[in-house]
Amino acid sequence: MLRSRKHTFGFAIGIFLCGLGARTLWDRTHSLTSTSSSTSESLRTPAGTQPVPNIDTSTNSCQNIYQLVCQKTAAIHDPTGQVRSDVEGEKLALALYRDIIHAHRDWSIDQIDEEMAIQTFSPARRGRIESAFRWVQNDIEQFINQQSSAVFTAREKQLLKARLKKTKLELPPPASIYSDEPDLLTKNEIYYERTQEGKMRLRVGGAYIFVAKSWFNIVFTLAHELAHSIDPCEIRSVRLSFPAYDQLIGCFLQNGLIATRNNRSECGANDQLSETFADWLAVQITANALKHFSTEFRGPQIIDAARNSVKDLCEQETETNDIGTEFHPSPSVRISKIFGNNPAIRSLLGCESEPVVGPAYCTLKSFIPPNSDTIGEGPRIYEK
Amino acid sequence: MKNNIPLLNLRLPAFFSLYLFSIILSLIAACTSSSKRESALSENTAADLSAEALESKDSNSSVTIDYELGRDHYLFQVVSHKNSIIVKSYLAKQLLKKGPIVENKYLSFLNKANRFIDIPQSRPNKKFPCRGPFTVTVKSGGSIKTARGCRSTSEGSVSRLIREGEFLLYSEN
Repeated sequence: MLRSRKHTFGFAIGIFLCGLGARTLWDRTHSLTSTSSSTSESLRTPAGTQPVPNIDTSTNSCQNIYQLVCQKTAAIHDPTGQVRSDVEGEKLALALYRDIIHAHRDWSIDQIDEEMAIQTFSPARRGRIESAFRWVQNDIEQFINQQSSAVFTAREKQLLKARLKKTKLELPPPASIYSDEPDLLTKNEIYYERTQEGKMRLRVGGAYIFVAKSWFNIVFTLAHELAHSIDPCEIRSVRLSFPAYDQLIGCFLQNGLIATRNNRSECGANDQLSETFADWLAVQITANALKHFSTEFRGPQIIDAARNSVKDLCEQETETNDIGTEFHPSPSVRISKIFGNNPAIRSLLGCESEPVVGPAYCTLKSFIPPNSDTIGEGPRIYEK
Repeated sequence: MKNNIPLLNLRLPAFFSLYLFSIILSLIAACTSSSKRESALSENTAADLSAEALESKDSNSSVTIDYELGRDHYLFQVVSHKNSIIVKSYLAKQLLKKGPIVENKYLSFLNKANRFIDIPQSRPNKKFPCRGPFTVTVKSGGSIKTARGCRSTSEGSVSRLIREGEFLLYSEN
C-alpha cells in the first residue's frame, strides 16, 4: 500500500511536471506567435516611409477626397504657402515666447506678451489676415445677394449682411486686445464669439500664424468663423427662423453631415449643426477664391492649393484620436462629405461634379419646389 | 492512513484528477502571467495617455489644468514630488514642454490656483453655450479641489492662470 502510494505520488509529480512543461511549451508557442505577429507588423511599411504616389485626380482620388487631401506627400506645391500641424505651430509660437522671455529677464509677464504680440502679428502678417478677412466678408455678402427671393427675403438678406458687418476682426498688437484671454497669443485657435454684451468678434491665436501660410487655408478658416455669425443657431439666438435654413438643416441630417445622436439638442449639447453650416459656407467661399486664382496658377498648383485649404482638418499626427467631435463633424465628414462634395471644388480637382457614391450636395435650394403651387406637398425631411 | 483526497483512493481516477489538477494549475499560472502582462501594459498606456494618471499618486501637491480650445485638447500640469517640481505641457497628448521650476515660484502659482478654485464658476446657458470647457484640479496634502467651467464665461481668469503657468515654465527652461 505504501509502495502503491509512493507510485501514485511519484506519478502525480510526473504529471504535474508534464503540466508545467506543457505550460512552458504553451508559453513559448504564445511568445512565438506574438513574435511572429510583431514581425509581420514590422514588415508593414509605415505610412510616412511609403513611396509617395504622384497626386492624380483619377477616379480613385475623386472617390476618396479625404485621402487626396490628407495623404502625406513629399511636398505640396501651393504657391501661397504651406500648412503645418497644430502641434508644430504651437511649438514655434512657444519657442518665440521662450526666446523673448530669455532675452528680457527683467520684463513683466505683460511686457513679454506685448513683445510676443508685436513679433507674431507683424504688419505683413496682420495685413495678410486682414485682407483675407475683407475678401471673405465681401464674398459671403455676395453669396447672400445671389440667393433668389425664394431662398431669402429682402429683409432676411439685410439681417444676414448686417450681422456680417457687425463682426469685427480683433488682432493684436496691442496685446491688451486679448487681455481677457492672454494665452491665445500662443494658441492655434481662431474663433467667432458673441459676447454677453452683444459684441460680435473674430480672434486669431498666435500659433495659427505659424500653422498657416497658405492663403487658401486662411480664407477657409476665416470664412468658417465668419459663417458662424450667420449660422442657424446664431439666427435662432435672436429669435429668428429662416425657412431656407430649415431646409438646409434637413439636407445636412439626411446626408449624414450632422451626427444624429440620441442626446443631440439642436443648437445645444452634442449638436454639430453650427459647425457643419460653417464648414459648408466656408467651402463655397474657398471654392470662389480658388476659382479666382485658377487662371494665375497651373493645374497641379491649384489642386495643391485646394488640398491646403482644408489640410488642417485632417486627423492630427497624434498617438490617439483626440479630436473633439461633440460640436465638429469628424475630419472624414468635413473633408469627404462637405468639402469633397462641393461641385466647384470637384471641378477644380478635375473630378466629375457629382460623386459616384456618397451623399448629395446640399444647397440652399435643395428642397425648394420648382413652383409655389407645390409648396407644402413636397417632401419635408426635417420638421422642427 | 486515510487519504484526504477521496479521488486518490481509486488509482485511475486519481491519476486523472492529478492530471486535471496540474493542467488547471498550469492554466491558472499562464492566465495570471498573461493578465499581469496585460495589466502592466494597460498601466503603462494609462500612464502615458491619461491626464489623471499623469499625477503621481504620492505627490506632495499638484496643479492640473485640463482644457479645450476649438477642437484641441490641452493639459498643463505642475507636480511637486519629494524635492522636485516638474511642469509638463501637452497638446493633443503630445508633450510640448517639460521642465523643473523652483519652489517659491511654484508656491505662488499654487496659491493662485487655490484662489481660482475658490471663485465660483458661472455655468453656461443655452444662449451662451460652453466655449472652451476647462477643469482645474489642485491636490494639496490630502485634499483634492476641482473647479469646472467654460472659458467664455470665466472672464479671462482661466486664461490668465494658464498664462502664468506657461510663463513659469518658459522662464525657467
